[in-house]
Amino acid sequence: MMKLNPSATLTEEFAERIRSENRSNRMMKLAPVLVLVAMLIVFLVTCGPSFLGPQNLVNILNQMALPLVVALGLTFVIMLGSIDLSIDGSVGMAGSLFACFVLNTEFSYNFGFFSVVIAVGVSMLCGLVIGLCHVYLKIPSFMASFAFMYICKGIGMVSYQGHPPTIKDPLITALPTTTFLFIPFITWVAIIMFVLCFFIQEYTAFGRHIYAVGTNESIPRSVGVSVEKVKIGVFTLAGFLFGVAGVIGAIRLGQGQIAIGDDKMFPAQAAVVVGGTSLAGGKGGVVNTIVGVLIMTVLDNGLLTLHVDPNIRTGVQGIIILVAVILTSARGAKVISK
Amino acid sequence: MSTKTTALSGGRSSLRDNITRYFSFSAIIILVVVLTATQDNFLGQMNLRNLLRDTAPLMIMSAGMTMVLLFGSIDLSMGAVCSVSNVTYVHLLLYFQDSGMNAAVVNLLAMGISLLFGLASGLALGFIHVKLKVPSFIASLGFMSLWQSVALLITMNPESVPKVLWPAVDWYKIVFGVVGLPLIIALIIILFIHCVTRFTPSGRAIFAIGGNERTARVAGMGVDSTKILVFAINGVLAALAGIFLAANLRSSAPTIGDPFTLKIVAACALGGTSLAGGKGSELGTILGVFTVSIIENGMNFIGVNAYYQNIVFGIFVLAAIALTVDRSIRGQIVK
Repeated sequence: MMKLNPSATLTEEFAERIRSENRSNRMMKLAPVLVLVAMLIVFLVTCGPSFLGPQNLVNILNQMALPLVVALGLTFVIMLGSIDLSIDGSVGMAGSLFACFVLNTEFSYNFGFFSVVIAVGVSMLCGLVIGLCHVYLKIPSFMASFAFMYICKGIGMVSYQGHPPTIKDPLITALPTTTFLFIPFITWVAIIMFVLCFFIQEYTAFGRHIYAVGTNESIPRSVGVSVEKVKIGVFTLAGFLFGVAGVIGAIRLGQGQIAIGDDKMFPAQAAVVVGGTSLAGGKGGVVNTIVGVLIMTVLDNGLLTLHVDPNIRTGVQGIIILVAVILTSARGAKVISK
Repeated sequence: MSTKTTALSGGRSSLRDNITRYFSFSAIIILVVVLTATQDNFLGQMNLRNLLRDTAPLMIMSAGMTMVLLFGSIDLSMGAVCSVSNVTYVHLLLYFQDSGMNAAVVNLLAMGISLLFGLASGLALGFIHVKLKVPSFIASLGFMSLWQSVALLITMNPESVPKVLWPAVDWYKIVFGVVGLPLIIALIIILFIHCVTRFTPSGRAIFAIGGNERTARVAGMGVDSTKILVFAINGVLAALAGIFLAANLRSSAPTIGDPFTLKIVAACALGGTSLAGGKGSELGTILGVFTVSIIENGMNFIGVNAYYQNIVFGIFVLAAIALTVDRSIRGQIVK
């Protein structure tokens, strides 16, 4: 029978494969949400009902603001199939620069809101240069951004010359405690960034091009999309979001120093991957990322409530990245991973 | 191999080949001439001795990284492995010192366990990369985070080697003229690895994998086992560098390896090893390592603010990689 009608079996085989692929895709889409729910239940049991009390919910919202903004920037880069390792540097740099240019204890500048523009602008510029190095010099993105992590750290340290400026502007020092509709102001900034990114991803040509470039570069190229411009745009957008994250960090700390960026990369990396955005590119999006960020924040918050050593918590993040990547990476026999 | 491509693709690429080949060599000469001209005592015995001694750990790690880069992977966890081995070594010395054992036995035991840790870490990384097909930079990034926290768990604060055990680490200060024993050991290791990669079939396999992995597999080379083996050697070398650093300072520090990761990549890239794999050599890496050390030493000597050093290094790495990247294939996709 099979030999008599090869075309039918081929079609059936194909349909069966598509069906199973769809099934596993659906599973992969649901998995992060299931993990989040399971984690909430586990912590609810181990930490008591106060874990989901209003106080801790506000805490979680507060904690997730900065990681969310960082992870949003990283999402677009990973959707391209590239990666950005400059986060620790650029977030710290933006925070340092911001604190240097508002009313502070070390320097006599007082640019007010304009200092946000300076800090974010410099961070965008770094993103742009990473994009240019990656696209035109053909340096692998992880290497270009890795070098920029050090460059940005250097710029941040040079900006305050070893004396971290403390912010004195009364308007800005009041921001961390300001709330609007019970949600902290800083979290509102993160939510606005999320809406902005969602809009870019879903309703602009640029956003759709990111998916196209991530899936297969040669197809958008052949229909006349400037792949180079899309890539450079994505790295610049990432730089913008890292800059915003740095400013948020400085506002919350009340001080500008390069340490604002420390240990921001792994949680962001883990959040994006755990949310279901594939490192190979072309899959996922900012909605996945918000679930991923929630998972990481709830985990961190839960471990904190259980008084786990902070060093163990960083180690756990490394393991989570590994496990998530192992589970999601394509493992066909012909794949060459470098 | 490089001569063949030169002959085929003509003038422009041969110029670039030459630039990459002599880049670090000329950089060393220029740096030394400029520094000697502007600074007294740069070539003085004291500074030369310091410079050559501090080069050893970087050279050992770069020797391993060159092999990894040659088959197209990367290991970003070396610095963290080095930190863990560094704190483990000193911690074990302190732990065993009251056990009544001979100082030499204690020393060997502590060294052995640290090196075993490096081996285990390298094997695990190689296994995850090769068998589970996780890209090496992301797998090693996960390991970097893991080992950094392990190092801090072993000890938060630097621990120093007790005075009773100083003889155990004094070998590090043995000097012949200006060349210290550590540098000699490092040179022996890197030259040995050079000979293995150049002249043995399993060493040539590394180049073949880097050139074209699929072809190497079809040709029946043990691609997977070679890769895992190289990662394991790489881990041992990182651990050895950690022991060197402990012997140099007579104390440990849980974050001592962190700044090394970029320096290692810088040294390999300056030495002409391509990040795409298949091109480069250990001899180039020796030159790259000296370039990095001289830049670092020179900046300290002139008194460049430590904050600027990060910027200078980052730009150097970008420049070095930009010079060695192969842009001749059109439409090649870089991720």
